[in-house]
Amino acid sequence: MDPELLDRYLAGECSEDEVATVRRYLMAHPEAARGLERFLNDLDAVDRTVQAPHADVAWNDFSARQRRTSAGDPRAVGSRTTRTRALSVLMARTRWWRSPGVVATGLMAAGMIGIAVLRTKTPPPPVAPAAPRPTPTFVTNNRERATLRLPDGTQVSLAPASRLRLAPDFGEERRDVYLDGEAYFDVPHDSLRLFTVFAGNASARDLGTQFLVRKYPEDLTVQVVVRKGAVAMSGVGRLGAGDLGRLDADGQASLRRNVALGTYFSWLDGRLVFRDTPLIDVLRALRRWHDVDVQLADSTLGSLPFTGTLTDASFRSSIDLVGLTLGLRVRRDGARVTLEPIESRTPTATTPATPRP
Amino acid sequence: MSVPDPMSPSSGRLAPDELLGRIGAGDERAFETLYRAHFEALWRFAYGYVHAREIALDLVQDVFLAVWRTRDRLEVRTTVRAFLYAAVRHQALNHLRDERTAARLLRTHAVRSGDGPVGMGTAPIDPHDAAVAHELDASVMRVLDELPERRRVVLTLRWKHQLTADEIAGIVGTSPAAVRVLLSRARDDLAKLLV
Repeated sequence: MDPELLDRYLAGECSEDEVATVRRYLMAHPEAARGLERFLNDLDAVDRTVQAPHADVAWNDFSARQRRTSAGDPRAVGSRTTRTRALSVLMARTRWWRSPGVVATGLMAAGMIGIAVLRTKTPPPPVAPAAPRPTPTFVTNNRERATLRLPDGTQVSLAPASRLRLAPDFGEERRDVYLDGEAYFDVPHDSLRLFTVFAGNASARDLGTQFLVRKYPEDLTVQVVVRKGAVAMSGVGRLGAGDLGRLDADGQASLRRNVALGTYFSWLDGRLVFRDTPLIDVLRALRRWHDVDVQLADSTLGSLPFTGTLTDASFRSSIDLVGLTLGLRVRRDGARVTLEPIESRTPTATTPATPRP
Repeated sequence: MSVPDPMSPSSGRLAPDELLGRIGAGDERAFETLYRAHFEALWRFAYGYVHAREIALDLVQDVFLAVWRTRDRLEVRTTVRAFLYAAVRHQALNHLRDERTAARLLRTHAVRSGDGPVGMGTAPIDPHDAAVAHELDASVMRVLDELPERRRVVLTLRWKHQLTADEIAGIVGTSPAAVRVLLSRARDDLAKLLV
């Protein structure tokens, strides 16, 4: 094999015929191919298994930083402090101490994941690794919940209408997962393999912990609530137990301490706790948990604040409780459910019948 | 014949020069196109230096932020991507220099490059690697150990990022002729692998 040809092959400068020649050679000489692969991997110590962050995640992150720059926020450039940068370097190096036995490939990871499904009503397999995807993905539909055990021992409860994808290299040098919707995580901490949840434009990194992350498509913010331990949330900082961090699409961050954890975590026990929640959001939750679309007779009703606890056991009792609390009537026409003001049942009632003289 | 309006919506792919023109004029979508076209490769390049995901991300984001901030006075002598690679390399080397203190704390680690963070960072030797190396062609390791850092960058850019000799020269700050000399030596290294 002419090294000059191989050089041009690697540089992407070969004709089709030349490419075929090189490939034939490499197939016939597996030793040489293996050596070449190793040589290329070791050039910059970056091999195929190293996955770049998702382009969308990176672009969102960039946009957020860009807005902060324009706003004169010093966090924009080099989001980390020097100290934590040094720490990251330390971690990057220490991974080389890792014993070989711990390494799990992406494929092994997929095979080792145990799945337990919690039904809310219908039995068919709510959670299935989506077959054509190269990485393990778990999806719940409306009315479905799932508990997963990831290969690193992390326990995940996936709320209805949510999706969790593991990075292809999950469990090797790090544990990256991508979430749409809502999920609770109980993570065995491992500082050599950081566990990070990416959701919307935010990321939450485990610092030894039980926490949940929420970002449904209609949510204006990514929300992270910590029950135990600590989490580092992008743009917000360190969250401890009882803290709620929020990041909106414009990169505006907020932090609330000592929130009522029951409100956020109760869905794990099949209860939905609302506190001054706009009706429209309550109905979205009901759609996810019961797969029933509730209409509003008047869209202005959507902003009515609802406070109360619903269970996942019965849609009927849930919607009745909402109606009762807010003084709305629940009208059912077959499968269609509508909430309406009590007066509108009698359209003429607006002009009260006055006693005739 | 009319001059194309740089701000007009354009169908199909943009020539790099046109893209730059539109970015210079403040077109955010043109900028996003540039970003998405190069982000992943630049991240991998940065990762080759720092071997830490978040830091690699920071470095690349900083480069793009700088590009966007100075968009009205960007001067690209070779190609856009060569410009971006050069900027990432610059950031990465600065970062490694700043981190030398931290690196000193890690002195228990043998590092392959004798003299500070040059080239593609420092590829640590670890017991696991060493064990695996037994099974591998000893000549691979021999060839690699003899490679100076600067040549690692040149070869990485040519064989893993498919840049031209002219682009590479611009990135590492040397002449195209010097890059060609490095590449011809690298072919000899390849020849050793292929025996």
